Amino acid sequence: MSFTWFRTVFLAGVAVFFVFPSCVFSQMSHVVSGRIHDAETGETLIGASIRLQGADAVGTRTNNYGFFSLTVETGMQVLVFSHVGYQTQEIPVNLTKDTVLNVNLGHGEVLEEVVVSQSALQGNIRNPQMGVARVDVNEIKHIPVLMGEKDVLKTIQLLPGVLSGGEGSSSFFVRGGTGDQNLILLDEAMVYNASHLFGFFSTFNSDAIKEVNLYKGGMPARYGGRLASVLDISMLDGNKKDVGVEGGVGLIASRLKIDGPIVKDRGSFMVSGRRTYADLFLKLSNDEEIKNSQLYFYDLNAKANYRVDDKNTLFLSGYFGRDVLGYSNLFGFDWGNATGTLRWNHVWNSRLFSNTTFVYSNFNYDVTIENDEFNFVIASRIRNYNLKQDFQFFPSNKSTWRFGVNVLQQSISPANIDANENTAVNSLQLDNRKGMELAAYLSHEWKPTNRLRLIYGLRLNNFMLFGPGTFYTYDGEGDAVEGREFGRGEVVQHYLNLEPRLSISYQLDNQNSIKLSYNRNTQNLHQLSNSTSSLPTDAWVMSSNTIKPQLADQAALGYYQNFAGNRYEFSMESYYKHMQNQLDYRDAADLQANEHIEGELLFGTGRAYGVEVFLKKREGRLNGWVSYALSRSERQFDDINGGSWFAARQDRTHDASVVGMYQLSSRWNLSATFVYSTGNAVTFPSGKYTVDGRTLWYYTERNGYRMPDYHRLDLGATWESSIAKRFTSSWTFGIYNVYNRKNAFIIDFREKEGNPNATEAYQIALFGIVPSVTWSFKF
Amino acid sequence: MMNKGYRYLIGIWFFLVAGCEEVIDVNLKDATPQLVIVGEVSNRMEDQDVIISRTVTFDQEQPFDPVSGAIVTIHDGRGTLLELTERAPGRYSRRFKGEIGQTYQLRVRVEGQEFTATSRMPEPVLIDSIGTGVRNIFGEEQKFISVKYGDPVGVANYYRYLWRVNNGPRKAIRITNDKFNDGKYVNEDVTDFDTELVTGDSVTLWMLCVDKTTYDFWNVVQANNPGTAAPANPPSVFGPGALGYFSAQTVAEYSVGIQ
Repeated sequence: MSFTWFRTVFLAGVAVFFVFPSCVFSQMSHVVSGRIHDAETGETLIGASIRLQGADAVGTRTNNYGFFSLTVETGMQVLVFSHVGYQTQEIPVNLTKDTVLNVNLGHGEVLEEVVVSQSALQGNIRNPQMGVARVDVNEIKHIPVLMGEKDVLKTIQLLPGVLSGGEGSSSFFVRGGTGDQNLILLDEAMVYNASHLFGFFSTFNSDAIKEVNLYKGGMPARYGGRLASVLDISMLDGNKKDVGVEGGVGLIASRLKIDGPIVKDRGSFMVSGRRTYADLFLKLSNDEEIKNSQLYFYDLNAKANYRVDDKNTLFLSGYFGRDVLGYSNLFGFDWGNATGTLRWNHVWNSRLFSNTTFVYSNFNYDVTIENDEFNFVIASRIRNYNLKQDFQFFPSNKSTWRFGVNVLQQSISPANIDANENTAVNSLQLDNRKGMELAAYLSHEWKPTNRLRLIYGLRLNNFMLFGPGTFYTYDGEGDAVEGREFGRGEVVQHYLNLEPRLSISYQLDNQNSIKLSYNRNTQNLHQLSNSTSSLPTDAWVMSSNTIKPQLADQAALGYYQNFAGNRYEFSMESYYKHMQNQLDYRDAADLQANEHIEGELLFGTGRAYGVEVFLKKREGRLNGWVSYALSRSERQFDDINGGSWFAARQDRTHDASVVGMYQLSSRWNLSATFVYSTGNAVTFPSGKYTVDGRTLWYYTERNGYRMPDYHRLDLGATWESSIAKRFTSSWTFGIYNVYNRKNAFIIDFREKEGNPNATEAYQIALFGIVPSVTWSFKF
Repeated sequence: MMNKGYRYLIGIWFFLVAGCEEVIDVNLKDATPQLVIVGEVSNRMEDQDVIISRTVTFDQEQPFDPVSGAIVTIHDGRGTLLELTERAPGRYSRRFKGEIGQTYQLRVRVEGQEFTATSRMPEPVLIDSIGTGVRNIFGEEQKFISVKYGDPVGVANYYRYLWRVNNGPRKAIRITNDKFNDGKYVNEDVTDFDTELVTGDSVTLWMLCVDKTTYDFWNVVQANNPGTAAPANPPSVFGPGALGYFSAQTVAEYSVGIQ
């Protein structure tokens, strides 16, 4: 039944690559294909540019595995290979047949201006993909951050349209969406909970990361499953030439990375770990209970790759991280993610590249309570197995096809209580939930003229919720009306969604372009949280007979300009997003260990729109960027605020960041970040009354008030030892919140001490001025 | 239970971030005053009160704005209609003893509007033992009242606690249910984060068994903490025209000297 469309799409995909070749290969041309690597480490380069000299329009970029394929006319040709931050290479080739060309790009001498070809710098103008931002991991090492823990999730918050989840938080909101509407991928594995320690640090140890791409709109058809954004993070493959050791000691954590060849130039490995040591200070306490307490987190990233032959490469990568909190022997709480990715790259021929991926991802938490009265464990888990087959087909230098299929099996085991017989708590076992998403996509990147480029595509998603278990329907009050028993493997509910994606760029000249995009995204996994900060215990639910898939349609229009010899990059994007089947909660919703959790939900619509401006200075001693977004994000629910539109909590009218980095000397680099944003929309009381000696607050409207504006200045300085030596080290000094601004984290209301009849408002600020220092080394 | 775990969690969290707190001025809107009706019928021979008031603005020094001139009756389910008289502004009373298992109906006519609500008085659950408990959180001693009782199996029970410390005001402090410990022998720590108990304090503790709607009201009040994304008014049994609840409840009163 539901497999019919699946088969159709697959056959269509197969047809494309068998039929197309016969009609486009008639010209006198040949294919140059291969991979581009970093000359020093052998790491493959993602998004590097390959162009034909003298014909700028003929060109392509490497994919996520550093692979490219370009069709070029027969004869003597010069190919220009370039990448931002690398020296350009020109390679003459005499094309008489299809040719494989593997290229190594070097960084160039230190402090010498790296000559990057103009065409690599114009990628942002040409690329039809809009709403995308690439974060350079080398760039973020100078940006000052809280407690000196450099963090990609905090860096992306400095981009326009990406809002911080809160003071010091690694969680983020994109274009008016919620935190659970971001798809966060680490080597293609979905990461369920991307933060440590209630959000203050992300799970991504930047030592282990090669490349980060954030899609805010116009998502490519190969991604699906979330409404607001895709954050695609690739881990480093490991040095293919030499063994390297890199590490650091910071205020919060220490880290160590080792990478090197397994077999020189054929395979390499990378292992990177990080652990915090705040708990070591607890050991110093005189108090026995504190001494026996735990408080730490750690991350472990590991990756290995092996090139079997020119056509086959295998990758195995994994992540394991955990937070552990414990108070004496009475209370324990730990949570974390584990992911594993096995990939097989196969080059079928110079025009067809394929990647087969098997992914495992797991997030779970355990709470253990053990004392005189209580002895029980609360445990919850969410897990998926994901099999993906992706093809990339390059029939000509004007056209690239991508197509593939994806089978995602997901299961949720909600918070269950396992209690000892004699304890004062009952065991509680809720039904597990199982779902499967079958997806297929097809997209075509096409350059019909030198100026016009487009990517259009379609993604089909079929979600199925399976038994066994009891599934309820709910009335308007959220009370369960009827429960129906489903057997194992029985389909409880299925949703089929068609997601069109389109992105067009039109180049006005070499320096200017306009782009247009439209995309539809759907989401079948929802995280429930009625608190202001995200907790690891927030429950996950899948679409069901009660919960419909969330759906977003986004249209965007942008203008892009490079100027002053591509040293400056400017962009302005505006968007409008309409969201259906959004979730909110009934008053005092019980979201923990509740069999009828779906009855606590309200469903409504959302809209978000805004303008984002970005100006970046890419090179020179002083570089950095300014970003600003003017936006609105609103929701409408029949049962909230009498059905009228209200501001979403993350609706911040103005959001601006300024990032500056200055190379003072060969040793010293200075940096500064300033952020400003309108406060969150919040619910405050507009009156009060008293019952049984307690003052109660009278609320008249959801999110009718604003938190005070947020602003903060951070400074950083990095000293690096001479890079000429084999052993190099650096010191990074940082000051978070330099002018000690007391940004309100919470505003609450209370009875005045000594006069319970009178009331007052008070605020809590989390971080005042916080200095940090980190020592890093490399050899 | 879960709450206990979270309390530890919140403790650790605050320990971590050791935030700084200051009193600030927030420009709050002045809402149109809203009626508040709170009626209670207990299983003791005493004045059964219905308090009618209006909400006031946040800045007002006196949070109680009584509403006089209402007609208040309670129907006891056996055909007896009891009329309440206004003994003090906003306080409508009548002395009688409610019966366990009986359903009462409250009717209030005020300012041309009529509000009704019903409540069934649940079976009482009595405390077996009560005393002082001590816990140590991050080196700080905290005293609380330790209450032990057997929760009846197979029925949903809702418990509400009020106390008076020394000669202070009578104050509502806690609402619980048996979602996680139905039928268990329960050891409840009763405390109020605002009040520090010290040796020698004399505490009067009231334990009330209430119905679900009363639980729902107080549970929302209790759940509205600074970390709540969307704090809200407690659900009202009177509909959109008035806030409040009507509770037929069993009341047990205990005296404890803090040790």
